Amino acid sequence: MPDLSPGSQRSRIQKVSRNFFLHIHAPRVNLRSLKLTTTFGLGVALGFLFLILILTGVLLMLYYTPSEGQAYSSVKDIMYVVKGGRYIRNLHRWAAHGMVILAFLHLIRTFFTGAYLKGRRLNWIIGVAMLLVTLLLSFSGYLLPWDQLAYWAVTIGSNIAASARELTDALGMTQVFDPGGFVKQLLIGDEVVGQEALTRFYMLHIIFLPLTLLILMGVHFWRIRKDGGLARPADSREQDIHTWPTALWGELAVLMVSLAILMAAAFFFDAPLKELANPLLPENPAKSPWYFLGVQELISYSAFAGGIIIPVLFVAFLVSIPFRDREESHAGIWFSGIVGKRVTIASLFFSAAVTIGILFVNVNFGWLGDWFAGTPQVLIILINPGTVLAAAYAVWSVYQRRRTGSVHFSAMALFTCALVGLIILTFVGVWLRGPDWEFYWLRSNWPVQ
Amino acid sequence: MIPETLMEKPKGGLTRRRFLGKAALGCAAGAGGLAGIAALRSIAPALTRTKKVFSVGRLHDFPVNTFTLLPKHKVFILRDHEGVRAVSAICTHLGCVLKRVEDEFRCPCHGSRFDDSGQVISGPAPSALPWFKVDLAPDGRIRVHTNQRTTSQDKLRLF
Repeated sequence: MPDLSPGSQRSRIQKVSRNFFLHIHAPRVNLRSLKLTTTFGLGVALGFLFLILILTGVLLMLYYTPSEGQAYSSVKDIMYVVKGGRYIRNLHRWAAHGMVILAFLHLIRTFFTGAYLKGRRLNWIIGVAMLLVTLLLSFSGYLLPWDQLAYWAVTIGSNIAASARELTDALGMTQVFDPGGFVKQLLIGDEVVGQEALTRFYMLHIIFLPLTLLILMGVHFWRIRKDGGLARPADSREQDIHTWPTALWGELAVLMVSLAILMAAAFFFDAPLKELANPLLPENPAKSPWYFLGVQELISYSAFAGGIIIPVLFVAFLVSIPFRDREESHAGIWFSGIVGKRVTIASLFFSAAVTIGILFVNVNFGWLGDWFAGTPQVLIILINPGTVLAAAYAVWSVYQRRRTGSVHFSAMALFTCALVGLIILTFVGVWLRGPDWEFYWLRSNWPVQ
Repeated sequence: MIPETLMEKPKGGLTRRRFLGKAALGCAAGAGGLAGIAALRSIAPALTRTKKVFSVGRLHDFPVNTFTLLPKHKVFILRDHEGVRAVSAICTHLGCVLKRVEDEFRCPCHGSRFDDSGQVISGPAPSALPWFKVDLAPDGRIRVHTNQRTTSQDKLRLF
């Protein structure tokens, strides 16, 4: 007769394996995976935020109307008439921003602990895809309130999608072959952002992208089980313990902490709602959502290079990492030990110096177009502050490869450089760019309009 | 039970079973691909709400030596002592509406600047502003064709 008393080995395993929702876990997990410093609970927190977004999103859908004429007033109703509506909208908004931040932190965590090594390649790639879907989800939700912020952010976003035109224009072939315009039409369903764009973004936001993310999430979690739990070093001495109840306590703690932060944020800070969208009067400065402002800074140098070439190169780099880096001894160790820490810190300083240096030159002295009138557009696409930065990061990464003789450390160098660059550019885009995208140290220095 | 002889992998040749299997797969892939193309075609919009040809008013609506922004159509109408011209008011960078500041066109989004003839002075805009053909509609009003490009010198001469 097997021992089925509570707390017995078998009952603990059955708690997990017999429950549809719990059997996403393995019956046993390694104690190391539960330590706070192994994961900081980021992936679990992302899952919870996504659930909160689905719940609050469903509530918002009860009152929101996706039409050009009514969208804005229905959001106002949600904020000022619906009982608790403002709080629900705030939760939705801050949970969405939280997901973007946590998704980047999770990327950083998995990268610097070498969690893409030891057969975890597929899950890394799925993770990159999930990051992109998360960004698209956030962006598609940005249009729905149909206020000035939404309208102009999405106008700029849709024109970024069309920025392949910059290249076809420079080659004089847009009239015959216009891939940029085609992508833009697919996205917004018209030549300018209007009802068609709202309908499409609504569909993407409430069904297509959430469903995609849900499926990817399922595969992502399933792969963790298939890959034998989280990556850990070969000489790890921690033992396996039962998932029930220890791991579930840990997850509950992550849920409580993220909920507490989220609820406090939603209580103290209201989600912004500006004036009704006015297609005739751009906001000045017209800024995309904050997580795209680093890219928008690059776009202010060249739309095609900043909006397409550099982001595509960055994603290609992320996807290629597990194919190039096979140094599996680094799996599960933060910064891969002391050498990795040194490479990371050196790259951090290098990237900060180069990025700030190039920005300084660009802000104070201008660039090719200002120095030589009539510089051909193709040259500006190829040589602008953004591409120069990308090239500098690549050169640094190759240098680290030569110095350490390791693909792993060169990938760490490039990753750190790109990330620091992205953070600095985002900071500049958010705080230091004012009307006409001019540089201002303080918002109070902006000219009065 | 499947007889052992059917399970056996034939050496080299294509058996009827494998041929039919591959043909079926090919058909399925082909049908899926065509359905995909059809779906994609339906996603690309067939119509647009943007008017390509529109009347903007009569000559006396535009004082001599002025640039008038028509926000609805996103064009500037230029009137001088010789006639009327029309230039796009949409920045060639990322599509914001331009403003007339001093004697140039400025984009509020990323700071591109264009001179009177629509050429880029500075900023990230990749190309000059397009000029549109202007003519008189049968009712005597001035009509702009945004689907017909022209040069910055080409005017509707009214004198």
